[in-house]
Amino acid sequence: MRIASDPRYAALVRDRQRFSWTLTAITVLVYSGFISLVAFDKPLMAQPIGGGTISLAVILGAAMLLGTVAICAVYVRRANGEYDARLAELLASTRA
Amino acid sequence: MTRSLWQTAGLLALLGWATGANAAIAGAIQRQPTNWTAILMFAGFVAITLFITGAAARRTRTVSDFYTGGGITGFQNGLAMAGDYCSAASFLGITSQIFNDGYDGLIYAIGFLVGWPIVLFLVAEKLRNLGQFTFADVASYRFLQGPVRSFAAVSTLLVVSFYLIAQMVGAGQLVQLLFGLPYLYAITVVGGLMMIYVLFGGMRATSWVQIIKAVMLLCGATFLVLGVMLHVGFSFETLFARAVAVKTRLALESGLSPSDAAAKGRAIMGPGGFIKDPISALSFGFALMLGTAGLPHILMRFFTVPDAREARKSIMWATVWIGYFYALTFILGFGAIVMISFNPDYVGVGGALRGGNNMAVMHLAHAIGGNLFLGFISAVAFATILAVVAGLTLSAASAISHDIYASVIRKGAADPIKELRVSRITTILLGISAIILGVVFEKQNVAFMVSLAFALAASGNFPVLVMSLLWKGCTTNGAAWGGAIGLLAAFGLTVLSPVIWVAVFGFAHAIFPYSSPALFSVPAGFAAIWLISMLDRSPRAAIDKAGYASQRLRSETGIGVHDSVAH
Repeated sequence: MRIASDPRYAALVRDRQRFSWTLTAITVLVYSGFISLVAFDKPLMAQPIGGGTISLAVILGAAMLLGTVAICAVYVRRANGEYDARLAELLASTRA
Repeated sequence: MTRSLWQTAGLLALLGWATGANAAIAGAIQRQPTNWTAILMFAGFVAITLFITGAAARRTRTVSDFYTGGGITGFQNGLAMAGDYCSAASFLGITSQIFNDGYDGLIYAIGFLVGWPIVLFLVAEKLRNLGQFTFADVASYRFLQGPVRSFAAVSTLLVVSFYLIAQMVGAGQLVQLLFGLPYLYAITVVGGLMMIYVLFGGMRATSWVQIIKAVMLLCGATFLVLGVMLHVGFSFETLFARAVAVKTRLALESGLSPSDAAAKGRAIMGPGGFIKDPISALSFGFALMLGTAGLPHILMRFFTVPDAREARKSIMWATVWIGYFYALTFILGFGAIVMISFNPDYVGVGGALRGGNNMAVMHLAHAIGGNLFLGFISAVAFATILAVVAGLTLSAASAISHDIYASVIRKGAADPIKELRVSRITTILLGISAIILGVVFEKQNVAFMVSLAFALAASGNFPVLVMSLLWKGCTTNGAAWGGAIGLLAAFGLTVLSPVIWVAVFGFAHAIFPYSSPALFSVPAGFAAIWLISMLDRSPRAAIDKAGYASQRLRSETGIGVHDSVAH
């Protein structure tokens, strides 16, 4: 097939793969870091932030929830935007 | 189940608590007075869903209609995924866990959420581009169909069975608690309704049951959170400060010294006893994270959307709603501490919740919205179980009819009408077995079963999917036998772990000391696939490797998808 040998196809696959593995690595590392903090340093996690009652654990927990949604948004935005546009262009030009 | 058993069962039991519907079985079950408001509201939900099933049935003619529902948008699918994933047990279990011990409940919630980005980054778009009806379509794409499909079907049936038993038993317990009806009624109602939804409405009815349930659950929980926030003047600082004050006062009343009581009160703001040894914690985390990417009923939902673009959007929305839901449960847990702890209608002597350990959010619903709202939330909790079991049944039925009957027995040349008939017969058999299993396991400890389902999915399905999608060298033998070894490792280590070896068989010490096998069994699955593929010198292995290029092209671009997807 012509697409398979097109350098733009190879570049697209390489870019998208690099991007998705980078985000996977970030997700796994951040989550492992969070679990390790919970497992190894409970006093630090229980530390209040800003003189009130709200603790570091609550802030980090909320950040984990928000961050998970955010990292999905980052991927979907780029994949449905830039990568899909490059793919559409590639398909159009090889069919023409 | 006693409280001390919960502690020995540790993470795994709590995983079951939080995902399976067996929320209600923690603590003694006291059957409640018959709650007619809740029953009527639930009847309303059933009426609406049956109406939708009727409409769906008229449009369910082909196998594709049955398995995929004829196509929905990414947004709808995201809601349906959230409806499939946010169980009654997360709602009841996590809120009650926070009500009792504070922060720890959030740790599970985060574990359940982080699997979704992994599904998105590694499998979602490739799955959509390669598959038609089941994840086995994808796993077996370039391989000899028989062995790989058989593995996938066995694995699907195992994962679904364990998940389903936990749901059925949980449903029975929950109904005693919420509606005040006998166990057997609940099991029969759940089994019967799920058969009707799937049998007549297929995926279309299942999707809409899940969507409606997700909207009801999210609205109900949002309303409760508004009630809590109104109570504390819309200040999180006030919410947490008052929760700490309540726990401190409870500790003082139990006879602790003022400084110990203050420390005990503060303890709810940080991680507590949930995570003791880091290996178990990480292993448990990996089971949740990677298991999500291997659950057949979740993977099947990707085939309800038309293309990779909508598949990505599905996960985006699923993550938004699931994340939002878990944030709500966190606030509700703390809200319950503040609003119901000193009310003798809700909390008995010694701080035990009336009606059972998992009733915190139910009492909170009553405190905020009275009897009517309590009825609504009870109906939502039961509707939730129905939505989950319908999805499970559909994925098991398609494993039998599409993977075993049409692809292995009929070698891909099955008559579509016969295939549809096989899936419907399977659905009836599954419904009947689910009711029987629900009765058989009524008094058993089923808490480990959901966690076992996650571990099996993470150790069998996930490695097979990833290796077949991303590694050229993977062969038929590698995928089928390697996947089976991953499954066996997860199963074997779970049997040797404290939840079964000690809690069920009664041995003094567990041979495998950690509460989740995933940290070991997932690498075992990957290693087995790699090793068997590397040693595979069969003629088929050459064909498998040669097929990678065209599989890769289609998985990346979606070229050819619309030839096979007859929407």
